[in-house]
Amino acid sequence: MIGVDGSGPTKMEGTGQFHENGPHGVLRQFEVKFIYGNHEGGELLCTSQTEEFGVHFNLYGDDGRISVSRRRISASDPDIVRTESKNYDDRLLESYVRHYENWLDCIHTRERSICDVEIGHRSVTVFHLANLAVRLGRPLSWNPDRETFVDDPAADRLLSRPMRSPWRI
Amino acid sequence: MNDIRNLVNQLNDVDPTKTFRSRQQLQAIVDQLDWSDAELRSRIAGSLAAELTATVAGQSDDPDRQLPYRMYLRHLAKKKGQDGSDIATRPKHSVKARIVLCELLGQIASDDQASALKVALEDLRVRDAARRALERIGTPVAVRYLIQALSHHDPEFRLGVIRSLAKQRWGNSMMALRKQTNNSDASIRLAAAEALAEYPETANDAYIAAASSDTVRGQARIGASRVRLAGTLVSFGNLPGAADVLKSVVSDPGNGPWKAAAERELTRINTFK
Repeated sequence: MIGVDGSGPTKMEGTGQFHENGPHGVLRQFEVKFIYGNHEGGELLCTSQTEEFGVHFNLYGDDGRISVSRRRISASDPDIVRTESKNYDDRLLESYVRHYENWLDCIHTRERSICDVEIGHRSVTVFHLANLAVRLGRPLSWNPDRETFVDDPAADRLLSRPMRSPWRI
Repeated sequence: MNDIRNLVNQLNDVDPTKTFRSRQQLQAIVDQLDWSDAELRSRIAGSLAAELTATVAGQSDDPDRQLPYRMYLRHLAKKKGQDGSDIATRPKHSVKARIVLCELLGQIASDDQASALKVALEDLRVRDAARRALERIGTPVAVRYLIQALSHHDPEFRLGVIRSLAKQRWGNSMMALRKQTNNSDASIRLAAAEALAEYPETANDAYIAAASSDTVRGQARIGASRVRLAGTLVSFGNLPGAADVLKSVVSDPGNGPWKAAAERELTRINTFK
């Protein structure tokens, strides 16, 4: 989310269904709500498929809803997504235009890329948290600075998956 | 607890759908467990631990026997029968089932069940899963079992144990890792050096530097570990300690990318100061 690239949600809860007969333990359907406490109480609702179009995010705000997937964007009020590009964060427009080129440029210049490792890490963290919230079946509180759950040793045990020997990062 | 026993028995089924469902149900029991109910948690974890160490008599029909015969014989536990004779036993559950049990125990077990995982550390096919479970538990008792596993004869397993100890923050695990920097096996020395870099302790720099390596790659791993130690110290707020480590790396003879990284990090730290 814009403005919280180096942080994350503070609260999350969700429900979902796993595939009953395998072969994998991935959620088939889900609905997870995140609260960004450090970002004026912003809410992010992430749901799986609807009749409208495939897997996507729903972002709910004061003026309505925006649904975003890989290829489409829609809104409860079409005017919400008709914002002029000049009002966007510059990085959004730049990332849309030239992601790969920017990455190669940064190898030469040693600058941070538009989507650097921190943003990648924080983005993936949101999905791991969603998975844990559904699995544990209760609301979770997250400290995005320390990257641990708040007073929740049961959830803390799931923060990482120990690797098989001799693998390492 | 009969439900748990039945579900664990189903993990041995040849039908993958049945094993998957029983795995999911066991996982759901463990996931939804309320930790504030200590008695229930203890009972469920106790049942899982009992199934992990459960044995039955006999060896001829072991479906998991895929090991060289001598290793297999060593693997079998021996116990006395009622008449005093030796009875060969084999684990009640398959290797796959025992690995699942270790994973579930890693999620909910306390010190009371860690002893079952310690027994599983001697189980040739399951020991790495038991090691991962003890890593997750991370209590002083679990760490003590991991430290004891450092004397295991298999170097690959020992590497895993060292990396598990890297995740802990107990003083005795750091001392055990420091000893490993003198190991005759270079891979163990280097892994111990990398593990010590995760502990926010300035004195570890000397131990990491002492874990010498003749190869260029080994020297690079030691250099990188020292820079990483500085990063760990920074994340724990010890900027002067981190600066000392980085200055030591920069002033060392030899050249490598880790020196450039140390110089960059040193500049950044001086900016913070």
